[in-house]
Amino acid sequence: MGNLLPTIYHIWNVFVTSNLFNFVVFIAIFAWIFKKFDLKGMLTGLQKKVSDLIEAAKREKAEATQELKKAETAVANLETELTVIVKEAQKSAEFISDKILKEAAAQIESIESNAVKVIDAEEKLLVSTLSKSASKASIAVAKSHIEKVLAETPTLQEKYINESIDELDRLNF
Amino acid sequence: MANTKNTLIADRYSDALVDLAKEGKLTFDKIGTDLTLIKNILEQSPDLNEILSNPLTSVENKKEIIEKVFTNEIDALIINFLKVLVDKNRFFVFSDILDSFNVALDDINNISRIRVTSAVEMTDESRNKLKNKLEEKLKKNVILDLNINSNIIAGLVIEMGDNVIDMSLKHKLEDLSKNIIR
Repeated sequence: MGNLLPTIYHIWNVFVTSNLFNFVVFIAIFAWIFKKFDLKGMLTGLQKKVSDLIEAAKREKAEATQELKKAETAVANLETELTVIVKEAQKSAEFISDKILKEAAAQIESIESNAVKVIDAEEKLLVSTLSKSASKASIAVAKSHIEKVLAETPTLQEKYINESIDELDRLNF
Repeated sequence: MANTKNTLIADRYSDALVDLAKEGKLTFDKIGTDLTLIKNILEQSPDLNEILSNPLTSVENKKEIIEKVFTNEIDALIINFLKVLVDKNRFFVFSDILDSFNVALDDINNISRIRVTSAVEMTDESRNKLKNKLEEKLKKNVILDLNINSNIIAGLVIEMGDNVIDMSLKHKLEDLSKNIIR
């Protein structure tokens, strides 16, 4: 028995100071923590969550793929539709343009025609007015001249009187 | 211009006076002289003319006035004629009757009275030439009523009743002006 104790002590000492011991203690603590905080459950939940996220990502990817296909189809038709739209727009623009040009031309022609008529009428009126004014002025000048000549040549009065008397021969009464 | 209605009335009374002369009861000259004298008296006395023409004056008063004013001057037949005008309330056309009688008298005597307008006074030579020319054309004795109006510039304007022969330079200038404007 006397030798046993030192041996046990020695063994204990070796055991305690060895890494194995530390390892055992570490495992014991780890086991305790594992048990205490249900790390397994946590890991399982985390694993499930990650798994769900992966599933969701897959679904989204599938949906995105489908959307992409739709978009690709739409884009593929877009050029054709765009061409049709542009052609129709061009036709419409040409039609409107032609219509506007024709209407504008007709309007310009009408304005020109009216302007010509107005100018023509104004010209005639002006010519008439000028003719009347010139005529009146001419007659006034002629009258003044005749009166002056008659005043300077009294025998002319007698001449005109005799001409008037002679003119009676041409008249029937 | 004389009122047409008055002229028509005056013509009827004038015809009666012409008939009086044709019947030999009075001469045309006597009738003309008496009517002219009455006209002159009425012109010199507008009040007398007014009283005799006024319908408010009684017929008797008018006849009495006629008797007093004209008895010594006018033939009795003409005085009776004036009384007839008063009776019929037509004294206001007396002046028209005289005009109508003169026209009738001129017609009977083959006389044409012509109004002549010149810018200056006509010489005797021109007057005679014109008179002879008109008498030759009208086949009537012509009595010229000469007037001067410098506005006609030169030439003559001859008026025979309603007919006007405008041979003035003024008229010729107006014609010329119209032709130029046309």
